[in-house]
Amino acid sequence: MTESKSLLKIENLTTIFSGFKALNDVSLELFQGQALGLVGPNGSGKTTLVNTVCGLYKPAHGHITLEGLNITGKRPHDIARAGINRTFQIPKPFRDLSVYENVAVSSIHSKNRTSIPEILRKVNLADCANYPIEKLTASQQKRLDLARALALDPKVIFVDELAAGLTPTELTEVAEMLANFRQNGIALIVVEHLMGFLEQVVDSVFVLSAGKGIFSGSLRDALSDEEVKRVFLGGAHDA
Amino acid sequence: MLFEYAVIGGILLGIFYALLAVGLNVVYGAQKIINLAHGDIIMLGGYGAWELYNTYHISPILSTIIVIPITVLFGYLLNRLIAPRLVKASDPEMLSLILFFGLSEVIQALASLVFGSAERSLPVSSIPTSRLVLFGQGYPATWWVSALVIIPLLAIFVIFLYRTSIGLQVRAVISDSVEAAVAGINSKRVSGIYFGIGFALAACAGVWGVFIFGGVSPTEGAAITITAFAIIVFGSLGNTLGTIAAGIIFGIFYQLAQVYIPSWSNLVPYALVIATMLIRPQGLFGRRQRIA
Repeated sequence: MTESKSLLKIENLTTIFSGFKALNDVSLELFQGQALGLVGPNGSGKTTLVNTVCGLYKPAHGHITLEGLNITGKRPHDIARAGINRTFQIPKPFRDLSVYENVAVSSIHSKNRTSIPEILRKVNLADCANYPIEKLTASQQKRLDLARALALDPKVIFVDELAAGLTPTELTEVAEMLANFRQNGIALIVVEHLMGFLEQVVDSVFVLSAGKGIFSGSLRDALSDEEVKRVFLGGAHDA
Repeated sequence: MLFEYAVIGGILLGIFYALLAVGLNVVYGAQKIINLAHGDIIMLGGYGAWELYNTYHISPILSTIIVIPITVLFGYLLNRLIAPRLVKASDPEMLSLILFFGLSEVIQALASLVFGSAERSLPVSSIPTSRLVLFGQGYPATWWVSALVIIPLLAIFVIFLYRTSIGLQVRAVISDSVEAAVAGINSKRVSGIYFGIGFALAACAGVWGVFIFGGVSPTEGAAITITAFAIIVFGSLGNTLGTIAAGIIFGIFYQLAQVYIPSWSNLVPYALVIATMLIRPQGLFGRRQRIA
């Protein structure tokens, strides 16, 4: 696994909602095959960062580049086609489409299409291809979200609170899947509260508090960092 | 014999009513709004057929095809004009109702100016005229010819929606336009095209409405919109196949009422909406929504 090639570069990103800075001058860099944990208390700006990079929110300032290509403020479908995809904390499959169709529709604009059964196999949903969405368990819906993200042949996937509600066995299963994605060169930004799961899947973490990046480094160092401890344990968070 | 006549006639007319309603359902799917000008688009389709026949002697069968690209383009451009405003509005449903009510009034006024307020009709000789005889009962040429034209049209539409790549994208956008955008789909463009297709289906229904309603006039739009609305509520809002089935069932009900209780038959659309709301609010083919 190489971690030398820079994929995603976020520089001085600021997102403002009605005068409130939900993201304040955030900068980070992600490399090919890297898994970065994005952590912070509720309201710290994690989802705002994901939504801004994915084009759902327009940034007030800053730059986002993917492999040197400026994608700042581009439309969500252009960003997805460029190679940034995501999952949702609460999976949002297309409810009137079958499992197969959910993945197929996500692969239409992929530059390098993989067969749908192959994608479903990677997330252990091969046997559910013709299922309607209602028939899937919560864990299967989360894996379908991953399959849909994979279908666009992504370079970067934002994985938003995948672990919530999963059993230990399911957690191990998705951790292995994420490791496989990384081996194929996909970089991950994992938004997560479950530290045990983060420890399994990421190399380093980026900590947000009140919209600002306050720490970047290994999870072990983060846990001993005074400011991180104050934010998580000291009740000083004000966003 | 009267019952068989009503049922067979109802199916033939019901195919027309399916087309009449499906366009409204499509526009709802594309933008999650009720197009109050739906009946007026149907009326414009009728005037289009009337003009094409009277000026160029073009058969209504051919007119059905001619109106499609024109109305797709009109619907697409209208969608691109209004959709960004609806997205930014604090109350998009109310704004859309006001916008389409206004559009309905404008279309009515323009139709009155251009075509006059008198009803216009097409001669039955503009289409094949032989009556259809089934089980000893004759059915007007306009009923079976319209059904013969509309069935392939609806079949093409269903194939487009369920068997093509763009149809798959349309169904994804209908399900969740934000999620579709994250999946790489240009939701705005796909919505716009689908919106235009809704207008085209309405205009095609308008061509045959000239025969089924006995003519076309500038003020007919509101009543047609109500009928179409009743059918899509009955079939389940947003469900295309449900709307088509509901259109046919509506045709049968309407024809049965015409045969047995003719003076009450115009109440059928209203009775259908009220009965659906009371007995099965999600519509005949809809799934019950879980409120979390």
